[in-house]
Amino acid sequence: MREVNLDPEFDRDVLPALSAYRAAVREAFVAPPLEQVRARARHRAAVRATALTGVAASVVVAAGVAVASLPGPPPTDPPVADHLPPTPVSWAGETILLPDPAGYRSCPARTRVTFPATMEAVSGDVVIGITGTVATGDLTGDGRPEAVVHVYCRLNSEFASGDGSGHLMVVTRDRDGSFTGLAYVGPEGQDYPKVEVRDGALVATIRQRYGPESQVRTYRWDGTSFRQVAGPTAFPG
Amino acid sequence: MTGRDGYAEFYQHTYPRLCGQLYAYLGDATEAEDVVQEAFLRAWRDWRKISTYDQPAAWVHRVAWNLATSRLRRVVTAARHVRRHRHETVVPPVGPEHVALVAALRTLPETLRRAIVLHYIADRSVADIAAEMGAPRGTVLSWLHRGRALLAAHLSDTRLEATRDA
Repeated sequence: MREVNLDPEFDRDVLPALSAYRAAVREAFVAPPLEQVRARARHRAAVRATALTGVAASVVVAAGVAVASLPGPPPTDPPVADHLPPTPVSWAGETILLPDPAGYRSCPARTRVTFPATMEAVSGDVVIGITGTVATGDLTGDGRPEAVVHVYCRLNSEFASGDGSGHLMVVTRDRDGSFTGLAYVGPEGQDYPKVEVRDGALVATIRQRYGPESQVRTYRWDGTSFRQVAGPTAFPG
Repeated sequence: MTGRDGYAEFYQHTYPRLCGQLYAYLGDATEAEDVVQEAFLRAWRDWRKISTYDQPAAWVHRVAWNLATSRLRRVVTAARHVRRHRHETVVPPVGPEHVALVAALRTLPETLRRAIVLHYIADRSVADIAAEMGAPRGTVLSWLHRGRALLAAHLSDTRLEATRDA
């Protein structure tokens, strides 16, 4: 059920154009034979498996830092880092585009930060730190793994203890090799003793930092954020 | 009972509409078909279960859109890059006026474009979109309003340019 026009002047050209498009595409796209689609999927899977083997073979470990080296000049298929380096990985020297902070107010929005060897980057008056990669696996359903990283954001002040900070961030690697934070996940200021990617979902054991409770909460990517789909949503009292 | 009863009809019927939506959202016809085909493959694999749902189409819709929104961040440019290497020319299967609309949609911020496509092309209610995008209803209405205004301005500019060129 479409809404009433809010502004007829704006909509004089736009709504008919959208309606015409909606009607036209019903005839425009034709479903290819299913067998053809399945054959293409098999081919893609084979290409992906080959690419994975290539990337795995090119992992260079130096001074405790795992780096996925990129293959040479582009062949016919995407040549670049399609997959994250295997864990453990150091984020030293890597740049991550931080996600929208949503409820994580202490973290800066959509900011690109490069982590030094100390794993604490500074943006404005905020320190963004990485404790480590806690899990990897495909969380978006596109066949490529994401990294789940434990991060914290705190004020850049000697008086800021960071006690109330710390949560998870899901990071994806773009085909140009750069890292993008998809979203933050989980409550801030608690401990995360165990994090897994299971059946495409992020399953986190969350322990109260200053309390006795430990809970398992499950989050699933819905295209824009990680929504909690199982487990308690808050610690008691 | 093969376990895939009704799938072929469902696929033929739902595929074109979904491709149209995702072409409008992604701005790339081949990329849209890739995403939709992947969603239908997943439906094929689990058809025994999905066919029992009240609305199997809603399931495929959700999977395809999830793939598209996660892909948009990372692979759209890669796909174009690959096609350039293969010297493929991809011609969208719609008329020039529709290609112009899709080009105009691509100038919108992602959130506005998604809301516009879901509402005016996928025929989803504002309440549905609010739930799916995790935003209040009023926010969705304002996205639709702003999206239409930007689209109108862009289409009007394009038309002026066309008139000048003529």
